[in-house]
Amino acid sequence: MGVKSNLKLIFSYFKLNLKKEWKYKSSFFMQIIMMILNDAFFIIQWYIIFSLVDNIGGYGFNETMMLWAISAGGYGISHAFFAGAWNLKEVIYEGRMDVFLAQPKNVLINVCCSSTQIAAIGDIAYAYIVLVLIGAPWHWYLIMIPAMILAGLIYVAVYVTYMSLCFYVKGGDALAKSVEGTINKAAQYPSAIYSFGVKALMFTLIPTFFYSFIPIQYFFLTPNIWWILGSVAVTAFWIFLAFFTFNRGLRKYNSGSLMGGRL
Amino acid sequence: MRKYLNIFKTSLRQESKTITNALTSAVSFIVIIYIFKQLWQFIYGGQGGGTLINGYTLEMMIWYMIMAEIFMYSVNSRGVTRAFSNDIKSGKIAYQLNKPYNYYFYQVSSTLGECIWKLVFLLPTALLIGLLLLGPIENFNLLYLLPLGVSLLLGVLLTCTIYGAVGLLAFWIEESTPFAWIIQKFQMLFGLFFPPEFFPVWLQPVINYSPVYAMMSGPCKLLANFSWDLFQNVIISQVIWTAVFVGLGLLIYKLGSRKVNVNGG
Amino acid sequence: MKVIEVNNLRKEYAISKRKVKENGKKYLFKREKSIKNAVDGISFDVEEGETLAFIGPNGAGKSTTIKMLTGILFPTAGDVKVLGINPSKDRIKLSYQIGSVFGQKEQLWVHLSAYENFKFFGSIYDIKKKDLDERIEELSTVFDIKDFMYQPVKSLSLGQRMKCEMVASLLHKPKMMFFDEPTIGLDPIAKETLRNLIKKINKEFGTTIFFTSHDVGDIEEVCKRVIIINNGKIVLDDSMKNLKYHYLNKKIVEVNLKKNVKLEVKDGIKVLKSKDTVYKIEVDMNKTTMNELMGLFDADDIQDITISSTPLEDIIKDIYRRNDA
Repeated sequence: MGVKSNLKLIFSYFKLNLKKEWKYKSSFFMQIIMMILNDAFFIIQWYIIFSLVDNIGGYGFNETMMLWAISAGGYGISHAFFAGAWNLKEVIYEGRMDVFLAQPKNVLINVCCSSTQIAAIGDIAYAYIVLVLIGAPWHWYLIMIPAMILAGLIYVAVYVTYMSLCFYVKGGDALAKSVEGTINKAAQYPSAIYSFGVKALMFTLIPTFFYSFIPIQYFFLTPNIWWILGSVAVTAFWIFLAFFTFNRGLRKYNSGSLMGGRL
Repeated sequence: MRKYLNIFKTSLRQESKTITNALTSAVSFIVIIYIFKQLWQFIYGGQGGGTLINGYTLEMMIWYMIMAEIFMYSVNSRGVTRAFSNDIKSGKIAYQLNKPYNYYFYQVSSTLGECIWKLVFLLPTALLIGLLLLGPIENFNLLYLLPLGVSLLLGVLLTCTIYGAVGLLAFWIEESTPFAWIIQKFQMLFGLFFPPEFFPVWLQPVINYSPVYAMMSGPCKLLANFSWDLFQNVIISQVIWTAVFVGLGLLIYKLGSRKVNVNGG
Repeated sequence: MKVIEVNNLRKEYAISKRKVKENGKKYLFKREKSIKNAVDGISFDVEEGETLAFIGPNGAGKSTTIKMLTGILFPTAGDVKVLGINPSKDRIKLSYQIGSVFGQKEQLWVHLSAYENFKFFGSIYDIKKKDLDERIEELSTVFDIKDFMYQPVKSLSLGQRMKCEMVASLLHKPKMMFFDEPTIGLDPIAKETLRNLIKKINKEFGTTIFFTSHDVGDIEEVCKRVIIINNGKIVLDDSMKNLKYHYLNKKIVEVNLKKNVKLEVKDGIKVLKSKDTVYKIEVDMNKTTMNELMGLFDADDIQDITISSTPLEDIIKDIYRRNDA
């Protein structure tokens, strides 16, 4: 089970999903365009806010747009390549894991990659649209790739970690969904607005900072190798946690047998 | 047997869905209000303490947004549109036409019921987070609760009829949810993020005479800063717009259902 | 060579329910836990090349067993070896060597063609491109799917789909195939197609077949050995031949005579029904012979006669019932 084999799996799923969606071309483009519009809509909100104040904790209009770029990009990566993670609830409760368990691949990777959200491509595109919009230097276009991938990975990893609760209790998705929603929303606002306690939470249990603020600050604005390495390490830790909790929970997987069985 | 298994499964999923959904939406509500408060506290320059922006104190701003989010969370715009369009798209509408009730009103009341059910969880959450973050509203009299409640219900009804009318477009177009989505964005921009006073002077009357005022900014201003004059304005706007959209919905339904009869031979 | 070795295998589920108050209402938070033994200490072996049916009523533990054999479920206790591999420890290693088809859980992507699906499964099982192309060629000939394997799966008939499903699960040359209720919800023609396909796999490739079902027809046609499981325990493990020999010992004889006769009472001969000149008689072959029965009539009187066996279905129902009592 080398890295190469798993990367191959990720891309063959992605290719297959694209092929599938490509059969309905108008819906394919519609989804992508709607998502770009959705993200772009919030530009107006920030335009009005920055007509009231110059900056929020040092973040002006451009920096805030970068927050949007990286969180849209991270969300895009997670939902383009790992959208299957968002089916975990049904996969666990309705016994749909069987198919994945019968195949010779890592179950978690297999489940996560099995589905793709086409709209997510719009999110990834939006990250680059923002770069154009704010007239970013050319090397930002390159840095965006690893920054986006890192953000996407930690986003999925956190979601899967909390979602593993579904193996143990009914309605176990509530926590994961709340954490995900919080990260998603909180990441779009400059970090200066949060109080100390909340910031501490955003470094640990709800790692919002690693999803948007740290990439913005230390990949783009004031590059710092230690912060970059640190956020790679934290992301790796969450990925490890996701595999650990998922594999632990898998022992409790009952293949839908408790639902009364098939009649 | 499979039929009953399905019914069982559906009801089970339904049951656990309502609990987990109520829980997650309560958390999400609290988070978004917290973020708004932190953001605007910053914009107000620290403590707020009586500073006015466009006639609003920090506390008024956030109570305004709490009310606005109650509307956003109780009426799931795309869900309502889908509820109205599903029977049309699936062709089930043909069986509804000869039932002893008006399908349009049936659909309105059933979605309204769902939205109001959500308020049971939402209102206590909203009240709690508001009181915790901001303390009691200034110059608020418990007597105001009654007119506020009326305005809230009218607002929810209006919102349902607007997104319902969009759903009824399914008689003619394949997919109507994108329209719901666009309307929702207008609702958010002009009704949720900022009170009307934050927009350019020429735009303000447009907002105040639009449905957004009746479904969002009107009732929200009522909570932030109640006055009986304002209440009168809001109610008039709400009644007129509700009448307009109910009429429009009925009209669309009538025209559309004629099309069903023609198709059916 | 033994391909499956199962020793004292058990799987229990903890079921928690809301506790019921004395007045019949449920507590909001108080819960009761109870343990259900889905599989309760079973042991058996399977030899290479066998076709084995694993049958039992709903909730008997069939699916739970097959899922433990394929590494989908973790056993609570006991030992399992499939092809010498412990499924819960080396699931991935095992899955390269076995194939599985689960009824009503299609693995094909319906919007894509079968061929695109095969290519995808090839990459899931790490099959080299050249090997995969050869294998697709071979299987598509054997299963006769070349005409339609480039169409989207959703446009295929049920029978065609099943063939494609089968090919997809054979691409990696599994040594063993597991079928979990593959015929559930299928119409009689589709069932027949599927049974023939399974027989073909066993014959053409010598693949060991492990098959669960509650449809007796499946077993009668496909399998040479039967294990009957009920309430998580094995109640019978025998060859199909023996099962028929030991349990199919009652014959039903229907005769239409030219005139009414008075039948002599004899041990092992029971008149089930008689109307005018038509008699329905059950003959217990352990106690008497057909000859004895025929001796009761005058050969010239017989207008019409049919002799049939008790359906296998009734026999198996009988075995379940005996076990329940």
